[in-house]
Amino acid sequence: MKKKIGRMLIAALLILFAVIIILPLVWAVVTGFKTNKELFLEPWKMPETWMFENYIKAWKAGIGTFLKNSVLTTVGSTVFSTLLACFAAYPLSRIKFRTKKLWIILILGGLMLAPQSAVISLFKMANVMGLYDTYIGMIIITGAFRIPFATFLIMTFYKDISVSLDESAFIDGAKTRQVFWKIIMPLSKPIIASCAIVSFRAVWNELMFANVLLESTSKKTVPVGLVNLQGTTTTNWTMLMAGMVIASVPLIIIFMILQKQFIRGLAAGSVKG
Amino acid sequence: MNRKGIKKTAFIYLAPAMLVILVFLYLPIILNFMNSLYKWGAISKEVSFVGFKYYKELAEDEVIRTALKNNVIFAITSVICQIGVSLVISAVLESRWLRRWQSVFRTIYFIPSLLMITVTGITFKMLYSPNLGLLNPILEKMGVDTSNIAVLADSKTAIWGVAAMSQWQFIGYTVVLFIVAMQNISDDIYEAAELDGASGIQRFFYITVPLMKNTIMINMIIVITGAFRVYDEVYVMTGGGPGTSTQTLATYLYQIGFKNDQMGYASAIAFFVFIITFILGLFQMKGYDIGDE
Amino acid sequence: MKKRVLAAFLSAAMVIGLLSGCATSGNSGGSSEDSSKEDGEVTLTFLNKYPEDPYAQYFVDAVATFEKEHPDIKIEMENVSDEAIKDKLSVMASGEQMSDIFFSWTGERVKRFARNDLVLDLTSYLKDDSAWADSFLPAFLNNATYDGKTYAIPFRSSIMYFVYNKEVFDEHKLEVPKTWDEFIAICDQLKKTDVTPIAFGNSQTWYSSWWIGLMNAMMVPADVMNKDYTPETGEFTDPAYTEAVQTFLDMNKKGYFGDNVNAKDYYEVREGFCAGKYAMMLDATAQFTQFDDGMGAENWGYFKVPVMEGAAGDPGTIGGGGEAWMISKTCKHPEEAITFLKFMTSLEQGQKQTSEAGLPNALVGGITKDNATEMLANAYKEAEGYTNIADWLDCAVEASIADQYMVSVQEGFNGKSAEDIMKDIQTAAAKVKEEAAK
Repeated sequence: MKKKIGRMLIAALLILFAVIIILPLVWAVVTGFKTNKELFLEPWKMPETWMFENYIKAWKAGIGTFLKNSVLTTVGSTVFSTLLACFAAYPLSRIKFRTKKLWIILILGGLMLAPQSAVISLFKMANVMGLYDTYIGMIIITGAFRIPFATFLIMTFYKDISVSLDESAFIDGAKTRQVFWKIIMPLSKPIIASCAIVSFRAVWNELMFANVLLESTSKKTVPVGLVNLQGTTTTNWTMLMAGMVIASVPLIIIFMILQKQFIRGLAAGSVKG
Repeated sequence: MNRKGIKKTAFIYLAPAMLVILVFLYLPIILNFMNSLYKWGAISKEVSFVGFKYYKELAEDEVIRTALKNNVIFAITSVICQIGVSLVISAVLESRWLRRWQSVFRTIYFIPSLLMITVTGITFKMLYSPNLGLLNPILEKMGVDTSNIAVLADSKTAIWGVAAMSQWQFIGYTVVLFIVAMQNISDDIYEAAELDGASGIQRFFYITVPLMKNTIMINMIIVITGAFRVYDEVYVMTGGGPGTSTQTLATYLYQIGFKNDQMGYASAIAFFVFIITFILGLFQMKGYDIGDE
Repeated sequence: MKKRVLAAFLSAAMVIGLLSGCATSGNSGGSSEDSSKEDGEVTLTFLNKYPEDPYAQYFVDAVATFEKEHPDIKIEMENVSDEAIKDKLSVMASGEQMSDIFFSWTGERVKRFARNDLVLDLTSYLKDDSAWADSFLPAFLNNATYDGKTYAIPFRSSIMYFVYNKEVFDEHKLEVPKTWDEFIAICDQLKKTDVTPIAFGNSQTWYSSWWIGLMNAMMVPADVMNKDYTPETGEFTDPAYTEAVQTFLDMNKKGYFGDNVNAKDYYEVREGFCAGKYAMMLDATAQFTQFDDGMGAENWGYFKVPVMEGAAGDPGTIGGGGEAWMISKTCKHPEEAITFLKFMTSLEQGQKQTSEAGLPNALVGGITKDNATEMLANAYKEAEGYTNIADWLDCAVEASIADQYMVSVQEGFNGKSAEDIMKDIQTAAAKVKEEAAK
C-alpha cells in the first residue's frame, strides 16, 4: 500500500515535470501561427487566425533551400566525429599502454576550447588548407569540436564491457580489428546512438562556423537561413519561431529513430564489479 | 600479441582522432595564446607586441570578475540540476515498474535540448516579462509581492533567470546520457540487493552511483566545461545586461573581440577560459578510473 | 597482422586524405584571386546585407539588370543578415579576404576600415564625376568620409523622427510639439491617462544608443562633440554630456517610458505603440513602412525631434544613419566596381530600391511621392534643411565607448547616477585615446 502511494507520487512528479517541459514547447509551436502583434500584445492567447503562411514562408525563406546543405554537413560531421571517437576510445579504455594518461589529458584539453576564440584562427587555417567554403571543411571543423566529448562518453561505456570478452576472442585467434568490429561495436550501439544524437544536434544548430566558413549562398545551412530572417528592426518573430520549430523536426525524428538503440543490457551481464 | 604490437595497435586506433584534435583544436589554442601577446584587431592593421599586458589587465577587469561569478553560478546550478536531479530522474525512469513508460518520458524530457536556444530564449523572455509574462502572476497567486520583480531586468536576478532556462532545456539531455549508461548495470545486482532488503534510496546510493562513477565524472566535466563556455543562452536572453551583470567569459570575449575589435585582449580571455576549465577538468579526472594503475 | 595494419592505415589515411584531398578542391575565398577569366570577363564579389524579403529580390534583380547591361562584368552577390555580417566582416578582414565590394554602416564603421587602410579611397572617382558626387544627400556622403577623403558610397538613408498615434493625440486634444518644453508638457499630460507617453524599451540596448546619440546632438556643442567622437581626442568631460544623460534618465524617472524599461524591447514597445498603448515613439524613416503595416497609414503621423531651446547643440543636426558600400583595397578591378556602384546609386535604381524594397535611398530628390508614401516623401523634404547627421551612437563613436554607453545607461535605468555613468564613459574614452595615440 505504502509502495503504491509512493509510486503514484513519483509518477505524479514525473508527469508534472513533463508538463513543465511540454507547455513552453506548445507555446513555441502555437506562437509560430501568430502575428507579431499577437505575440507582443497577447502572448498567451490562441491566435485569432492561424497563420499557416508563417510556416510556409519560413520554409521557403530559411529552410527548404538550405535543408540539403544542413543534412549533408550534419550527417558528415556526425559520422566523422563518432567514428573517430569510437576508434580512439578503444585503446584508451581497453588496451594497457604507458602514455595513455597523456592522450586522455590531451583529449580533455580539446574539450576546453571555446569556439568563439578559435573562429579566427580556424578561418585562416581553412583558407590555407583549401577548406574554406567547402562542405568537407565544415564537416571536419565542426566534427573536430565533437570528438573529445564523444570519445569520453564512448570510452566510459567501453570500459563497462567485460575484458574477458576480448580475451576469450583473442585466445580463439581473433584479431584486434575483429574484436573491435564484431564484439565492441555491436555492444556499444546505445552509446553510439546517443553520441550521434548529441553531435547531430550540436552541428545541426551550429551557427558561428556555418556563417564564417561557408561563403556561397548555395552552401548555407538552416541556422544561417534562420538568422537571415532577423534584422535589427525588421525581424518577423513569429515567422522565425515557425522556422525554428520546423528546423527542429528533423532532430526529433533522428532522436526517435536512434533511441531505438537504447536497449537495456546490451553490454550488461558483462559489467565488471 | 607482444607488447610492441599492442602499443602499435593502440596508436593506430588513436591516430585519426588525435590528428584532428591536434590540428583543429590545439593549433588554435596555441595560436590563440600567441595572439594574446599582441595588440591586434581583426580590422585594425596595427600589430604590436605587448607581452603579458592583457593578462594583467584581465586580473584588474571588473567585468571579468562578474563574468567568472556568473560562470560559477552556471556551473553550480548545472551540476545540481543536470547531474544531481538528472541522475535521480534517470534512476527513477530505470525502475522496473516504470520501464514501460520510460521512452515516453525520456523523449519528452529530451526534446527541449534539441531546440535552438533562440526558441527557448524567446519563450522564457516572455515568461519572465513583468508586463506580459506568466511568472509574476503565478508568484502573485502564491502570495509573493511582485511589484519589484522583473527577473531579466534586475541585475541581481537576471543571471538566475538565464541559468534556470538553461536547466529547463538541458536536464533531459543528461537524463538520456545517464539512462544509456545505467542500462549497463545488470538487473541481477539490483535483485540481489532487493533480496537483502535494500530500499530504493539505498540501491541508488550504494549501487547506481558507485557503478556510474565514471559516467557521472565525465558528464560532470562536460557540464562544468559547458558552463564555463556558456554563450548562446546569455546572448539571446540578455545580451550580457542589464549593465554587465550577466556577462559570461564567452559573451565578454565575444564582445571584446568582435564588437570592440580588441582581438588581443579577447585572445587572452579565451586562453584564461581554457586554463580554468582545463585545471578544473584535471581535478575531476582524478576521480576517473583510467584503469591502468 | 598485415590486414590489421592495412585497416588501421586506411583509417589514418582517411583523415589525411580528407585533408589533402580537399586542398585541391579549389579555393573560392572572398578576394578576387581568380576573378579575371580568359575571355576578359571580370568577376566581382559583393557582400551585401539583405537576405530577407522583400529586400532580397530587389537586389537580385538589380544585379541581373546590371549584368545584362555590362556583359563583361559578373557580380557574385552574397547576402548576410544584420546579425551575422558584423562577425563576417571582422573575420574576413582578419584574413585579408575581403569581398571586392562590401556593406557597412556609415560613420565610425566606415572610418574604422579607412583608418586601417582596408578600403579604397573613392575621392578621385567622385571628383571625376561631379554629377554623381552631387547626387547624394550631402549629410550622408559627409558621413562616409575620413580625413577629408570619401571611402564609401551611401545607398540607404534613415532619419530619426518621432512618430505619434493620431487617435491618442486627437482623443486628448494634443498638438504636435515643436519645442522640447511642449514635448515634455505633452508627456506630463499623457501620464495622467492610461496611455504611456513614450514607447521605449531597453532590454536590447541598441535602442538607447539612438536616444543618447540624439540627446548628445541636441545638448552638446558641435565642436565639442566632434572632438570627443574622434577616437584620438575623445574625453567626454564636458558637463553637457552628463546633462544629456540626466535628461534621458529623468524622462524614465518621471514615468514617460512606463514601467520596467529594461524589461521591454524595441519590438514589444513598437507593437504596443501600434496598438495605442503608447502615444509617441522615436523611430527612423527606414521603419516608416512598418507603421503603415502595423496600424494603417492614416492612423499615425510623425514630427521632427522637438527643438530644445537654449541647448548648446547644433540645431541643424538630425539623428539618423546611413548604409553604404565600400570597395576593398584588394579589389583588382576598381573601375568595374565603381561602374557597379554608379549603377546601383543611379537615380533610377535608387528610386526602384525605395519603391520595390522600401529602402529609402540617399539621393537628392530620390524619394518622392511616386516611389514612396506621402509621409516618407514629406519627411525627406523636411530633412533637406539639415546639414549634418548625428549617427546612431553605436555607429558614431568607437565601438568600446558606444558599448560602455549602452551598458552604463542600462544600469542608469536601474539606479546608477548620470555622473557615475559619465565616469565610466570617460574611463573607456581615455583608454581608447591612449591606444589611438600610440
